[in-house]
Amino acid sequence: MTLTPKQIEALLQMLSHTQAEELSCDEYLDRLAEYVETYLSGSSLPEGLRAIEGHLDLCNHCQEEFQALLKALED
Amino acid sequence: MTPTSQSWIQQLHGEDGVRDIALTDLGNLLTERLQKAFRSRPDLTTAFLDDIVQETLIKILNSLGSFEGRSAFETWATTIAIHTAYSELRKKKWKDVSLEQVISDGSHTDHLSIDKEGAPNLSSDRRELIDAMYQAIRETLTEKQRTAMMAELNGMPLEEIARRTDSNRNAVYKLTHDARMRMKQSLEKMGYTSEDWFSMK
Repeated sequence: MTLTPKQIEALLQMLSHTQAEELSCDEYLDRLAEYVETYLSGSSLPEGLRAIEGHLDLCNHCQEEFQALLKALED
Repeated sequence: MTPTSQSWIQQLHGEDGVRDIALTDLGNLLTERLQKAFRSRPDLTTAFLDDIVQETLIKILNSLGSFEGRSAFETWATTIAIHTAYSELRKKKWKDVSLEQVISDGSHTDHLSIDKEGAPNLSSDRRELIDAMYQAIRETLTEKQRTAMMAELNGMPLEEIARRTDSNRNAVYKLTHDARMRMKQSLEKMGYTSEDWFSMK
């Protein structure tokens, strides 16, 4: 198993965001609609939605979908 | 639940005529939103977006009971449409790529560019950290975890890893989460905290 420098950097980024308790992609998706409405309103996030941000830091694919969702919901 | 969301739910649970009108309205809304989300992707055809909308409407009808009203119904429906679209795009993108290929070949990656020149100018601290990472991978991860982690690092989505390992996205997530936790704890035991990782270049 050989890692390129970019992969090492990406792995370190992932490890730095890794927590014992974090949301899976499915759990993230379950709360996404509520999160995006709070995010767009500029309101402070309730405790139950903070874990969403941790998941977005960690998961590039969910981040990609979140950016698309923001565009979809633009006025 | 807002009155508008309640109205959607009632209509989608309604008799054929009422439900059909609601499905048409919801389909039009989702089409408009998907077009906005993918306006930077002119390669996506109207037929593709129509298929995604139809697939989304079926998913929505099958999961109406799970809508709890914590957001507007339209927002909830849009999250399903976006996820359905990306799942399909990723499925198409990775359809001819085996797990073995993606592990041995980094060329399929989106977000990680491959530095074929290696890293000739690393500090000794950085080299020691990389050695510690390899040691953690060797000593703490199972073969399955190494495979899933390498595939993920090379950009393969978890659902595509799951498809190739007779698993599901949640199980692959748990596998890779456990792998990351083991590696992080192993590195910390060897004296490397996350504060050190990015200061060593």
